[in-house]
Formats: sequence, C-alpha cells, structure tokens
Amino acid sequence: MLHTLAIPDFITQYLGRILFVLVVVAGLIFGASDLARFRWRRVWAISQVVWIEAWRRKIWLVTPLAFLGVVIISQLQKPYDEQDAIRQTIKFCIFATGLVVAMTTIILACTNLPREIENRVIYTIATKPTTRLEIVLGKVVGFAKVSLTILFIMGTLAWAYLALREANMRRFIAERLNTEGAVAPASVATLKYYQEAGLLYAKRQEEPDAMQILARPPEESGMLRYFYGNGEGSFLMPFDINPSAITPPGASQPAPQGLVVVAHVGYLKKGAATQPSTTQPAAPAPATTQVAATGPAIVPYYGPFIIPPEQRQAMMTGSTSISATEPTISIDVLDANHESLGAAKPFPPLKILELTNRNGLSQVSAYFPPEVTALLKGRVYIRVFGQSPDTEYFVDMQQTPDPVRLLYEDAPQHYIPLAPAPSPVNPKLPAAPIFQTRSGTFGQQLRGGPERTPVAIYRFRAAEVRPTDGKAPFEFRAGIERSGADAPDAPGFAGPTEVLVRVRNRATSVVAETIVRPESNRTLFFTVPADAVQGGEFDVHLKNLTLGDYVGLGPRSVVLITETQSFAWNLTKSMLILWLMSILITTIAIFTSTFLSWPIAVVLTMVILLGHWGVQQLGESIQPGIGATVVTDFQLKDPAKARAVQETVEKLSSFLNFISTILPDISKYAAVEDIERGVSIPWLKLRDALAVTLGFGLPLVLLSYIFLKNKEVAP
Amino acid sequence: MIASNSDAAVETQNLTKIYKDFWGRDKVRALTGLDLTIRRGEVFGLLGPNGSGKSTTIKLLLGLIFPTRGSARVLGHPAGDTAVNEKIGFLPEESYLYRFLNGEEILRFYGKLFKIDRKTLKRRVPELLDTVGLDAKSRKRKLREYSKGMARRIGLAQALINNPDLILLDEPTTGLDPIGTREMKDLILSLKAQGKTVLLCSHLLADVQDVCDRITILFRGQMMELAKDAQGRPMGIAPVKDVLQVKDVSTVEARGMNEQQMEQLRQFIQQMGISDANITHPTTTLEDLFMRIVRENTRPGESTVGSRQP
Repeated sequence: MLHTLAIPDFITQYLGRILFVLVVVAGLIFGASDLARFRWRRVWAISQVVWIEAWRRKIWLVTPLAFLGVVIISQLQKPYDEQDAIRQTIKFCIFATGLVVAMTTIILACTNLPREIENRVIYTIATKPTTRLEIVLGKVVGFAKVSLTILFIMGTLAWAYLALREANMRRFIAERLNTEGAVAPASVATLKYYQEAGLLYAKRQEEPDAMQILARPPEESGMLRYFYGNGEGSFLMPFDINPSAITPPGASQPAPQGLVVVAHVGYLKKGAATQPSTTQPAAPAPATTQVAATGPAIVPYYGPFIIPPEQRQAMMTGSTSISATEPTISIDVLDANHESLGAAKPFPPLKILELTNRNGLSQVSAYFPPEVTALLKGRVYIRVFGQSPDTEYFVDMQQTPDPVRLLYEDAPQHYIPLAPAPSPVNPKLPAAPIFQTRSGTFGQQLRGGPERTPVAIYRFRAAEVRPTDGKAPFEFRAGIERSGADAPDAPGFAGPTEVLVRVRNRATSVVAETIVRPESNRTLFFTVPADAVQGGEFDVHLKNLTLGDYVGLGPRSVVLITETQSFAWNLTKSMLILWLMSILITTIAIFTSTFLSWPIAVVLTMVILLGHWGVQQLGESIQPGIGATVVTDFQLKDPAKARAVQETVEKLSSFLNFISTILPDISKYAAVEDIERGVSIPWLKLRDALAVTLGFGLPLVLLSYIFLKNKEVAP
Repeated sequence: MIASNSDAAVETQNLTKIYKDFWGRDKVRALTGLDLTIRRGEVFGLLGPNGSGKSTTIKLLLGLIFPTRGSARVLGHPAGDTAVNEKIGFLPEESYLYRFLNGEEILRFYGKLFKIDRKTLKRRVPELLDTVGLDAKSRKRKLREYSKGMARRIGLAQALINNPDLILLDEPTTGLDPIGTREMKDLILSLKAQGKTVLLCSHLLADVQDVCDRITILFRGQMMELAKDAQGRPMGIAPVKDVLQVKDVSTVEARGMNEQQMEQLRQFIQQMGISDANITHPTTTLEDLFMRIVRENTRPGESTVGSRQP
C-alpha cells in the first residue's frame, strides 16, 4: 500500500502505536513540572464551569427538539411488522442521540477555547496557579459531563418513547390476534411470540464460528467436501501476502513473473457410477420440535439475481463456446473485502482449467499475471469455482489439507510455496477452505428442492449453552427470494418456504431435527432439545426443501439465545459507547481549537473524525492500481502524461491510506447494530470503544497541552 | 536571565515585545528594552497614554505573552511560572469573567484554583464581597446583569481571593464612580499597609498621584526620563513626591483669614520684593463635593452601588 512512499511495512503496520508512544513520552517529558503540580480539584472546578455554562445557555433544549424529530420520523416509517417498527425506532433514537451529542460536542468544544481567548476570560484562568494541562483536561472533563447530561436526557426520552410504543404495539397485536381473520395463519405463531416475549429485549447470543455451504453434509468421519458446479458452488483459501517477501531484489513490483496457483479438485457427474458411497448416513431418530409453521404472510423479494444457470455460466465465463469434455473450474483472487482482484489464467496452450482425472483429484495449475499480483497485499482469498452443470466437485481434506497452493518463482524454474493463512483455531495449521454458494440480495443463496440441493452448515464452537426447560432456543432470520408465485391463490404457488434444521452435537453425535417455515426478513424462533447442543460443540445444518425458493443466508442467520437481559441496561451500554465517542470528539475539537479559529477547527475536527471511515468507504477505489484505472478511464495516449497521472494518483492514494491509518476508527463505536437487533451489547464492544478513545484521545490531550503551553493567550 | 534580587518583587531586564503578523514579520513594537525594578511593599505606578505598552508589560509579567527579547522575574521566579501565581492577584483592564456565574460562584470558582481549603474559602468569599461593596442581592445576580462598576468590584475581589503578595491592577478605576474610585484608592493604600506590593497601571494621573510611591512613564513602548540622579544621569523611575514637587513655587495655608488680613499679607510680600504673589481662597475639588453629597444622602449600612429598593 505504501511502497510508493518507501516507508517500511513495520512502521505502517504499527504507525498508530508508534505515534501514541512518541506523543505520550514527549508529553511526559515536556510537562513533567506541570504534572508534578497537577491537582484534580482545579480540573474539576474548570469542568464544572464548562458544564454550568452549557446548562445555563440552555444547550439541553436541543434534546426535546431532536426527539420530536425522532417521533415524527418513526411515525412515518413503513415497517415489515411490529418488531421491525420497534427496531427502526430504536435505530432512529440512537442515531438522533449520536447526532445530537456529536454536533453539540463539536460546536461547544471547538468554540470554547477560541472564545475564551477572544473575550479574554482566559486571562483570569491562566494567571491563577492553573497549568495549561489542567485547563485542557478541565475542558475535556467538562464537555464529557455536558455530553453525559445530553445522553441521559436523550436516553430517558428514548426509553420512555420506546416503552410506550412497545405497549401500544403489544395491545395492537393482542387485538389482532383476538379478531378472527385479522392475522394470516402463518403469522400467528410469530405474533404470539411477540405478544408473550415483548418487543423490547436484549438477548445474549452465541454466534456461529463459521458458515459453510456444501453440496452435501460432510460424512461423519470422511474428509471429502463437496460443492456444486454450474457457477453455484465455490471454495476460498485464505492467504496473507507480504509484497516484500515476494519481490525479488531489484524488482519494481511483487512477483514480476506472476504467481502460480495449483488446485487439487475432484468431481462427480450427476448419475455417475462413481457416486461415492459416503452419502449422508441415515440420521438417528430426530427429536423434532416444529415451531412457527408460517406461510408467506409478507411479500418476499423477487430479486434480479435469479437467473438461469446456463445464462449465469455464460456470463461468468464470458463465452458459451467452450467445448470442454471434462468438468472445468475457474480460479480468481479476492481481496479482504471479497472483491475480485483478477482471474488466474491457464498455462498456454490451454484455454480452460479442466479436471482430467475422472477417478480422483486432479491437479490443476494456472497463474496470476503480474498486473494481478501487483495488487496482492495482506489477506487475500483464492477462490475456486465449479463451472460445469450437473457436476459435484470435491476436495479431499485428508489428501490435500490445503487444496490450493500459491507458488512464487524466485529464480527461473524454482518455485517457493507461500504458506496459507493460519487457522484462527490452531495457528499451527493452515486455515480450512471456506465453502460457499453464489450471493443474492439477502446473502448466500441456499437453493431449495427435494434433492441435489446445498446444505448450509453453521459451526458453533465453545458456545455457552443455557437451556430452559430442557430446550435450547435459537433465532433464525433469512431473506427469501422466490422464483415462483407468491400469493397462495396464484397459479404455481409452491407453498410456504420450508427449511429443514438439523442440529448435530459434535461431541455426543446427538441429532435433533425440525422443519421451520421462515418469512422473509422476519425473525423466527425455534427450540431444540438441549442434548443436541450440550457442551457447546455443535453444528446447525440448514436445507431448503422448497423448490424454486432461495433462502438468503448470512454468517449470523442462525444464533443460539443464551440469556435475556433488560432493554434499559442495553440502552445504557449503547449510551456509554456514544459517550466514549463524544469524549473522543471533545479531545479532537479542543486539539484543533488550540491552533485554529473555531470555524476551521470545526471543519478539521470533522475531517479527523470521519477521515478513517471515509477512506474505508472509498474501499478499492484508492487501492494500488487506481492510477492505471484513471489513465485508462481518461484515455490518456501520451505515455509521459499517462505516467505522470498514474504516479500522482498512486501517491495520492497511498497518502490517503497512510493518513487513514493514524486517524480514529469510528466504526468501533458500534452503538446501534446490536441493540437494534435485540442483542445484548457485549462488553468487548465497550472495550473497543474505550481503546479508541484512550488511544487517540490521550495523545491529543497531551498535544493540546503542548500547543496551549506555547501559545500566547492574550490576543 | 537576570539574577534574583530578594528585595525586588518584579525585575525586568531589556524586556522587549514585538508583535508579529501571520508570516512572522514584525508588526508592532509594543515594548522596547524595559529595565524595571519594583521593590517589595511599594505601590508602583506604570503610567502612559493608550498603546504605550503598559498592558503589554503586565501580560509579559504574567506569562500571557512571551518576550521577544529580555527577561523578567516575578517574586523571584521567571515570569509565567504557574507556581508563583499562587502569590499573585491580577485585575485586568476590564473584568473578563464568566458572565453566566453569579458573584459568589465566580469567587468560589477562582478560590478553588488556589490552595485554599474549603473552610477558609467559605469564610473569605463573603468577606471579600463585603470589602468590594457588593451587597447580598448583588452577589446572587449573574455577572452578565452587573453594571460596569459592579463588574469592576467583583474583578477586584477575584484578584484578592488568594490574599496575594503582589497585586497587578490594570486601570483599576476604569468604570468606577468617584466613590468607587476613592474606595479603590483606599484599598490600595490598605494593601500597602499590609505589606503587599502593588503594580498600578493607569493613564488616570490623579489615581497614581494619590497612592503611588514611585512611578515610571512609558511612551511608545519606552521608558521616559523623569529626573536626573545625583550624578546627572537620567532616571526612568522616581518617587512621586520628587517628580511632582514644583520647587520654585511656595504656598501658604491659613484658616480664618479675612479680606483685610489678606491685603496686609499681600503688601508684606510685595515689600519682600515678590511682585507676582497670588493670594486667594482655595476651591474644593469636585470629587470632594460629590463625595459629600453622596455621603449625606446614603442611609447607614446602605451600599452606594446600584439602585435603591422601592
């Protein structure tokens, strides 16, 4: 990323920490005498004046105004159902609270010091035995009190409004349930659950460790993993690329000859005699718990992504004229965000990547050209697609634990294998391949039908299990895309979507099965006997039974509920995260206002605050290679001009990435996501928010002190 | 760096301040080579017209701005050392205070910035408010509702909250009525009596004349010559009585002299060979007249500040 600036990777990797240590050490050395004189009493006195000023200037009046906006917007919303209405209202409340507290803090904190210097109030503070460190800290603590007050008012208003709205909703649900014909039969179970469990809650959940989508469930003891062809199935192998490690001495870019990729894949044709005998064994008698026998009471999304397999195949290959006699695969490389960086090419004279061994694994070699390898840095994924229809592909984890290998040519005909990324469970082992299907509107599509359909496997590891009444409750939420008719009375209506859920305890081999009927984007609750999850090591298999339907799955579509907590407590945690964010904003605002006039300080504060997030949003637009893209887009013919533009854009892109590494990551202030989903905010998220506030706020406080100490405060 | 003189409350050596513009170019030469020594326990007057460098000198002594050249020591410490601020009181040229606090709150706030324990502070706040003449009702009002004179009084109170050894007063009588002015002068003299050092910065000559022991005059950032010493060298600092004494004019004061006796005295002086003697009744000052009228119309225990309650 930064090789154009010739800064060692070590520095770019740890730049934030290095700067933190440097600033803290400089601050301690520079301010040793003031630290010795430090008194909390003075800091507290200054902070109290800041708070009183904000209160007497009636800053708090902004809270009822903001809340009025929340009420109006929440009344105009168009939710799926009652739970969605509450969730949207929670989101509005937290968003409005965050906005109010952020804007108030920015404006107050940016204007405070410049105003005190301008109207000379600072004279009477700075001529007392108050150190500049105490002045800065007093302001920070004072604005922390102001934002805490605003958050308390907004939080109380939000809680009261949500409680009122929830009570109204539950009453409305009760009325509907008591009125015959008012509720579609499919929705009765869900509505009853809402009525009993309430709509405001905070559940502690155990989320799956990994999600895989395979063509068939893995055998009990086998190591074969199957995925469908026809462009539906694929698997990913993660690698961590260090560009300098694959750059030969004197070369201007990593792997100038490209990288060789070798995949070990086998296949089975539909109806072939070699159909393995390791098909799924008959499951033990399941302890079935069927819940939520729901039908499609709400309209599922008819996405544009449901296209005939042949058309999809042609689109992916870019041609329909390939006349392979054996099944083929394609290989490409994805970045950390799963965006494709480029495809691997067959070695000439081959034009396709064919599996030549009909009775086992084929070794398929290809190469990534230099223009692709130049883009590789950090975590990348090599993706292997099965292309041929009516084919199941497989890898053998026993024969080839790493079914994809990357080779780097450091000398002519001398190849060095690059180690795959380590397993997150056991770093001594390579990471396991990730099997998936194609993506649709709501996530990876689980195709439905009675046979030859994929199975989604959610793996839970060391999950905390707290069964109630001998049952373990799960939550399931998925989007449904349908290729058939939706209305029950329409011709071609195939009935509600049915999903077979099979929970298998890996430790005890106890299996529980149930069939559920999810509605699109509506949370469905089901329970299984506790034996199936006891010990916390279990898999949840999902199989879509309805032909023509696609169930869109995400990594957290299935979660185990372990405990229910109070919503008010969860709201408090959300407010705490916002409070930590407001403290960060205060430190930035005070820092900028020590050397800038307040309007410019406001702008710079916003830039510092949103810089990292902004660069993240630009995503691949500012990744290496953008220079070449710009040159192509502008159709620059003159080589000199083209080179100048390319280098300038690349350097600018590197600079932006460089700057973003030292700016605070505000995505760590995750105040909305969990509480909106009804999930208890884990302490880990508060710790992350605290780490950003301290990691960035402390150096800024010290820098503000150093700047203010050297500033003439008399205009 | 100048050596510390234990007898000096303030010492400056070649103190110079040049204000720069955005690009670092010289903009204004506010003070040039000031050499000043203020003794402990004296009331020192810093005189000069507007823009002569008086306030700049005070800001330099307090560390609000930094010298371009030269150095200054205050109570034996380098100027701007926060530790020495424990012993300094400062009244700026206008009362730059938090306008949303009331009189008591502002004094409590400033008191907390010093090493004053809670009990002492609780006692000192009302004492000081009494001293500066703010009654019970005024001290509960927010500063933004104060008149200019009241703001000046609370400003003075905050300067004295720590019972300082050195008090810097920048234009202390600005905005005060004659009574307030007189009270301010009396207060300065009482501070002197307590052994405090006072640096009085003013362009109102009567204020300085009445209370100062020694003075200096700044003009365009430079110290002006006031007198010559025994060796005939120019002196920038001099005792007030020395510089104001008109040595070739004499006055005679007498009570109960009638017109006839005055005529006899005039003839006697002429006989002595003095032809331009002026013998007449002295007039009182307007200040004295004003003071007498206000005093006669003030009820016992009533403050002279603010409007009367209906």
